[in-house]
Amino acid sequence: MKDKKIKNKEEKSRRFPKFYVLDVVIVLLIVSVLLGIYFRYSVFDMFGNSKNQVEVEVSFSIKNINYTTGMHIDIDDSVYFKSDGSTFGVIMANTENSQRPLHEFFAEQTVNKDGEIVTITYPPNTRIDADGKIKCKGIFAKDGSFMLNGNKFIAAGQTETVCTERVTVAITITDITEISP
Amino acid sequence: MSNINISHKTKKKRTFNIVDFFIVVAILVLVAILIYAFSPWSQLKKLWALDEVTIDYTIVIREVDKADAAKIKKDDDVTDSVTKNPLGTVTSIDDIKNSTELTYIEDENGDIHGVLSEKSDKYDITVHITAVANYEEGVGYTVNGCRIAVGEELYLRFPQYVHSGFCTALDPNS
Repeated sequence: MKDKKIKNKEEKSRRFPKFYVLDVVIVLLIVSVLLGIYFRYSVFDMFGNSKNQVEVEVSFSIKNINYTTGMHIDIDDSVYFKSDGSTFGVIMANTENSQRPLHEFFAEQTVNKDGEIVTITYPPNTRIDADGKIKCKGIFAKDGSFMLNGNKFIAAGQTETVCTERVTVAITITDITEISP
Repeated sequence: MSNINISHKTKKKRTFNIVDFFIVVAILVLVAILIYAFSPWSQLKKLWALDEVTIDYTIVIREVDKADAAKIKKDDDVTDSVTKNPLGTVTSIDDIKNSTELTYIEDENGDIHGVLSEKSDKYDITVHITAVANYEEGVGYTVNGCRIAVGEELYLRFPQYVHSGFCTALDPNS
């Protein structure tokens, strides 16, 4: 009788392998890693947020760059953040009637002239300041703040180093305006 | 007697062994590779589907002494002074010019204008370099992992001189 019981137990253990503590640990580890990946990339958030995103134009200014820099920026150039490689948007024409990407000015500098602060401009073909616009998508929160691509806060006054295919430049955001559909 | 031995064996607890350890390590390594492969600045991503193209780019090295300016020569091989990776070959060097700084002059009407006044002891060198770059659409050009773009500061090592300079022009030859 005892032999039969032992035999049945052995058969059961073959059909249903025992679950040990280490197996539980491994499963929990895999689950936690998968959860981590999910939260890191927020896959489902991306799909959810993309429905609510609006198109905006982000106005920016650039200070004191070489005058040749503007020649290497074109309309529809993709723009991304140098810090993490995430997408910002695309360069727009500076105004509705303009096919130029940047509105350029001679760069300025303040100097002290006999105790007086004076602004002077660089000569042509030296240094320039410029204004431009980037078209991008994001979400406006109820308090008016803007989340680029639904996950990155940007606002007027913020300075970011951005890249296009051929240019790396520091821009200061001056305005964020929704583009009417 | 043998029945008692069998029952003892079935009750024996499973111990953690080296195979379990390797399985856990393998899973962690695999997950780490997956995360790294799909992160935005992954080196692996850069190796995928990259076109090779020859580029000509221009570097301006500012405020160097005249003796140092003479140490950069045509056909010099240029490397990144930080990573030691090759960045191309010098194809030409423009005539060196005195470094300048913005100062002001006041005209007879009292208007103030900005002018570039030359520094007598410092020079700017404009160096043209040719290199084979990897091109990724929407991202740009890299030479052995170093991004080449107008506005980028590059840390350059020539055979007889080391200095940083800014890229002021980039011309891909497709």
